Amino acid sequence: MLAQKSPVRPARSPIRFENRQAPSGVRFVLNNGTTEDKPIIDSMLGGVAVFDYDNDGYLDIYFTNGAGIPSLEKNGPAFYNRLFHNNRDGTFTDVTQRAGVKGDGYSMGVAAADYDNDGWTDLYVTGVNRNILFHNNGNGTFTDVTEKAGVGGITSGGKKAWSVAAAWVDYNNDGLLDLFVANYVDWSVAKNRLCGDPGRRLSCTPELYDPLPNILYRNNGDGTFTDVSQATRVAQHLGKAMSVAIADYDGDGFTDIFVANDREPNSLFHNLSGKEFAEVGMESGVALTDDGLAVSSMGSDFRDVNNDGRPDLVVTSLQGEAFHYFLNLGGGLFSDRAYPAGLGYPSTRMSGWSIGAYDFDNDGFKDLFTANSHVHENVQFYWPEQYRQPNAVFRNQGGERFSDATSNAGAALREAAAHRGSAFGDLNNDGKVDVVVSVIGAPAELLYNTSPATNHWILIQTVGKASNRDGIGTRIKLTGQSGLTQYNQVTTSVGYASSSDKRVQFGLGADRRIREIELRWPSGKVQVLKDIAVDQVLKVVEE
Amino acid sequence: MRRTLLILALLLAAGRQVQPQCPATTQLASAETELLRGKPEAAAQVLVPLAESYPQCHEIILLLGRTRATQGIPTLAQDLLTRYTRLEPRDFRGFMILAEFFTGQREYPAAEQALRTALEIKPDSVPALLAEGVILARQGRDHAAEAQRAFERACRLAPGDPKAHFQWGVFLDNMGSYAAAGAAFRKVVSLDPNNPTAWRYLGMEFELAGKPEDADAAYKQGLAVNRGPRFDPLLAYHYGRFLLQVNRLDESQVQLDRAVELLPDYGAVYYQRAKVYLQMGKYPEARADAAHALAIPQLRRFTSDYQIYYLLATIYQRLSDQEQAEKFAALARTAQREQEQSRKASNLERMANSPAGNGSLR
Repeated sequence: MLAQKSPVRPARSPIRFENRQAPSGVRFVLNNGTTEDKPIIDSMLGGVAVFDYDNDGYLDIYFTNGAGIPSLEKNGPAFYNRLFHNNRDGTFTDVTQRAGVKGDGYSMGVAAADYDNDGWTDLYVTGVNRNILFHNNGNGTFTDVTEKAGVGGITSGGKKAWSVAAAWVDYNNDGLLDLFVANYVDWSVAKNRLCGDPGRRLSCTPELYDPLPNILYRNNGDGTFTDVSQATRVAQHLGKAMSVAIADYDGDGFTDIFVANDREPNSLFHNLSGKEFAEVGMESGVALTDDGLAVSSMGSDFRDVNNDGRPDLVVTSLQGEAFHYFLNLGGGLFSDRAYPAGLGYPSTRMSGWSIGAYDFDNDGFKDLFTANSHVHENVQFYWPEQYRQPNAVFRNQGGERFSDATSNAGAALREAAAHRGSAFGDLNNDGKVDVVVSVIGAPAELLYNTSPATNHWILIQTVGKASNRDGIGTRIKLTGQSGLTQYNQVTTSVGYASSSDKRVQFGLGADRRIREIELRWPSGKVQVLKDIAVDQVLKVVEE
Repeated sequence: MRRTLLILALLLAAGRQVQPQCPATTQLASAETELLRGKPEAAAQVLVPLAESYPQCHEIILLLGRTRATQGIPTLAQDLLTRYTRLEPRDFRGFMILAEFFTGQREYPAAEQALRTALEIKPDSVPALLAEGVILARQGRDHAAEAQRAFERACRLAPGDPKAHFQWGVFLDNMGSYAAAGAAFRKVVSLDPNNPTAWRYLGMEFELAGKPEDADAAYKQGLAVNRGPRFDPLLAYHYGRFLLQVNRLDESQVQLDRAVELLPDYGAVYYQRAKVYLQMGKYPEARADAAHALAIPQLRRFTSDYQIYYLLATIYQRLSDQEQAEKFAALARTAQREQEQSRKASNLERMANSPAGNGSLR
């Protein structure tokens, strides 16, 4: 199962995080506008993006936010989405107004990428009643180009769908990023249902609402998009999408799309040579749990966790259901190995939202971080469970097993809160992946990675030429001095409703040089770099 | 059921006072013996002539009521038992037996009423409190608080009674209070370490608490004492299922082989063993067990159609039988969708009938 183990595995040291929100100047509180009735939308928001909007080499932060209920309008600054500029000294400045990205409507998620290949990262914001494409003007401001681009999240029935997440993906390898929009359920204020007792209402189960199709927009390369959901057969499959993650799971050179559905089978859209998609969740073994059950799948990440060259899937779910680790067996098959891998039992106590598979201790194996909280604010009236829960970190023990490393991860990971979205990236360029987490009703958390290990690392920033400029979809194989080979790919679609750094991070353990880096670009080009120095941000331009 | 009858028989024996208008004790005792031996017809043969000879003997009415209940003649049983409680309104035993009868008929409010009367007569009766708790719990969450009070009171009155803590633990488990249920079962096994079912429950609670090492130890303890009249046939199944989760495949198969012997009509056993075979790479064996599980009628399967279809799709994938894999994947999709729609419909119906417009919870 494990391709290879590191011959020079560094000594274990804890993974640690420190919440530096207070000194950072990031005063963002996720406001769900909740009401007595606890409508289902109020538990579902909170995407975060980390991306470098001004190309200064440092990651900035964007938070989505809620709105008033039932108006679903951002009727006050407390509901604005917020953009924080990284001042490169640990502090941030709120630049929302100047940038023009406060948004409209009840926002949910965010996906960041340079869709027009102009070198500036754009933003797509999903929401209940409004999806917005913000074009980055390259001067610190953005323009709402949703209407012109034709990406408003309207389904073939002519209705605006409730979109939770989105992914930028070049599905046809034409060098232009397309947009996959993940839709949840057919909800409106008029269709709202009540659950739980008056005075202590609960978010209704999604079973009470009809599922929706997802949307795939093809990028026309002229600032407009075409809805190809029907033509590509994406729209044939209904679901209750919570998150979307992308990877080429079968190595055929075309990026596939995974959608985590809430109490519905998950979907795996197998990309058939960039022309259409076959939904193969059931056939491949990722639709249901190992017990054949459709659980509350929430956030997801799609990366090679055991260094065998095949992207695996990790998916969070709610308390009692355990998180899932779909190991890619090759041949188009996956097996849910959460329990044998040691992830199942510890996670039965958690309700997970966002998740990311990153090498937090730079030992050459990707660990897991999950942002946790129960769905129901009033859960304690019904079950012996807690709404506010601490986040968790699971250490990868060499590709085959995980151990719950939360208790040693510092005080920040003992803080119970209503965590939701999270975005991953190296905020201070120290080679350690940090995490930004949104929290309903409390300040967002800026979890700086303070793990004591002095392992080496590299951050790879791809710049496509024939491929899309971000290089999204590029598969990277890295072999260190010790012979340890790792795999990853360029993506921003990570976790729950969130968007992470497009730069690809590798932990290198004790290796002081990198023997080889192989990049397989979406264009089909293969580029090989040899004898690379460690501990740097390496920009690789497609040749 | 048999254990409950035994308890009631002991209660009867303890409380019995031979009435002057009744026959000799030996005649009633012989009828009761037949009843306890599972021969209600033989008991009836003794009791019916006695009832004609001694129409004023209330004890015969009670015993005959129990006999009719055991025979599966509920109308007669209810008539006799109700008559007895009217004739002996201060006899605790009558109301306990009547409550037991109503419980068997799933007439929970009537059972609850009978138990309330029993508890008015003997407020500190632990068996009555436990029976009341069980009946209240069966009536759903709306009665959970009352059920909880009954169990808590029973445990307070009899802190050393493992039966009280066991029932309390089962209640907590059903309520999803797994940590508290685990504590209750720990108490049970400390008082009664030879109770295999309590060890099984404890193992399951440890699993839910995310403590596989403790679960393993609990299941092992249960297996070590799993014999005699309290033999628990589900223990091997649950331990086998657990061992599969922790990837101890050979040990899992041993337990599930045993479970198949013990529970040959229990579909979930074959389903779990199919999963073990799948992990072992024994695909033909996995396919055979999954197909066997599917052939078992739904009521005894404890696994839904789409779970088995999904497993079969996976098995056929591994067997490289694409056609069958796609067939079962399609069946899984359809069955899952139907179940989803049915759940939605029942949820909406419940909401329509709820005064608070209450929908079901996650």
